[in-house]
Amino acid sequence: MIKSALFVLLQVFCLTASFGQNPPWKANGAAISVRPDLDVQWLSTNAFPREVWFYEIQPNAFSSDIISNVIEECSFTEKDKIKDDASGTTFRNAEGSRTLSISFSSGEINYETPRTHYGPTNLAIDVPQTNQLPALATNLLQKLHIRSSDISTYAGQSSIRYLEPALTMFYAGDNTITNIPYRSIYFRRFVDGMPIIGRSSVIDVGEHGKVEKIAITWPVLKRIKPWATVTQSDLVNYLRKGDAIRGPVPSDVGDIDWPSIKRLTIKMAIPSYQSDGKHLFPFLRLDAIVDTGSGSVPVGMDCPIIDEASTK
Amino acid sequence: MKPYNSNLHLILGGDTVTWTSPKKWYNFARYMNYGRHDFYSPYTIRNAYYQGNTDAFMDAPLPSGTTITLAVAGDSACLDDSLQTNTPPSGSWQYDSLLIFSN
Repeated sequence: MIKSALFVLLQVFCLTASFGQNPPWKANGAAISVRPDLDVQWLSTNAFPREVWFYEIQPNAFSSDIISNVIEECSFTEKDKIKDDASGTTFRNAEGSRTLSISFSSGEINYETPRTHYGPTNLAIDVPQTNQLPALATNLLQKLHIRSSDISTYAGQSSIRYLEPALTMFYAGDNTITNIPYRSIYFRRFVDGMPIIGRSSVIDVGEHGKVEKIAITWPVLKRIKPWATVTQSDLVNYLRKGDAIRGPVPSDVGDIDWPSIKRLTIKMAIPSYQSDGKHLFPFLRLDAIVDTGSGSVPVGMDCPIIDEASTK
Repeated sequence: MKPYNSNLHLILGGDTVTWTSPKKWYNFARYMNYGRHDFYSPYTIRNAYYQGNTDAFMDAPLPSGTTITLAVAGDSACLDDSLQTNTPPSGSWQYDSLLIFSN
């Protein structure tokens, strides 16, 4: 009993110590300089949760139901299994062209098929239209046991999107022939209504509605410790103290000389999580407008949502 | 007007506004020369361009509603050119685009 309590205490200590020193959001962009006089306008009106959690990322063994559903969806059978151990299971077809990897250790499901080489006389046939994707998505997410609450904001807004990411135009004489090789179902995992930033989960659907790609990261998450969120006044202070990073700018803008900017307007603040592979850390993602004095530049920013100094 | 002549292999560009990132050029060069993983498996020029940008912007804070679509235009025979091998242009032209970021 005492050993267990000590282990938990040690775990919390290690987590909080590493968090305060190097939160992962700081690697997402360029540090901003200290500007005690910075004019910050806070226009974001969305309410924050009062507390956010540190999570530990744990393996996901996935249920036998999920595994059999995915195997069937990807047209594999038991004879295609080439690896099966405690870390996961892998299937590959006889030609070696299609692979399904289910990693228990990282909680990932990845299915890859070779992209077909299309041409003006060999176009993709019967790729589902965008308006057909919602029904397919509902079916596929059910098979993966992903609930709508897992991919929705705390306001209930779904993160699922239906996109046409790839397009090819062939020029044959004066004719232009367009080919859509596949369409995609994108969704993002939400925890306590907060998005996990990073690569979205995606399912590509190609000819005749066949699934051509699955890329899902869905580890088990264990709550470790709650932390109170800071006030709007604290957030403005973070921005003035340079305790934030800013993201890229549009290529036609050039760069931002932060020490000389005139005003920073925060349009939206989104409580979010980011993974370092072992833990989920809470932070705040900002939609901002920078008044450079010669124009307005849209920019994304990340900053603390808790008093990270107190976690050191 | 198409910027095409019989010698052109590929033109890499954007279908939307693109965003600054030192990582995207680092990734692009690395993936073309070596590959994406810890073993030697160089990408084609087109795939290095797409994947290098995808990885560069994966965690980047970009304003909500941002979409980045890249485009690679060129001779149909050259779409899979790599730094290591390339194919002479065949005379047919195509335009390929891929969404690499959307939030």
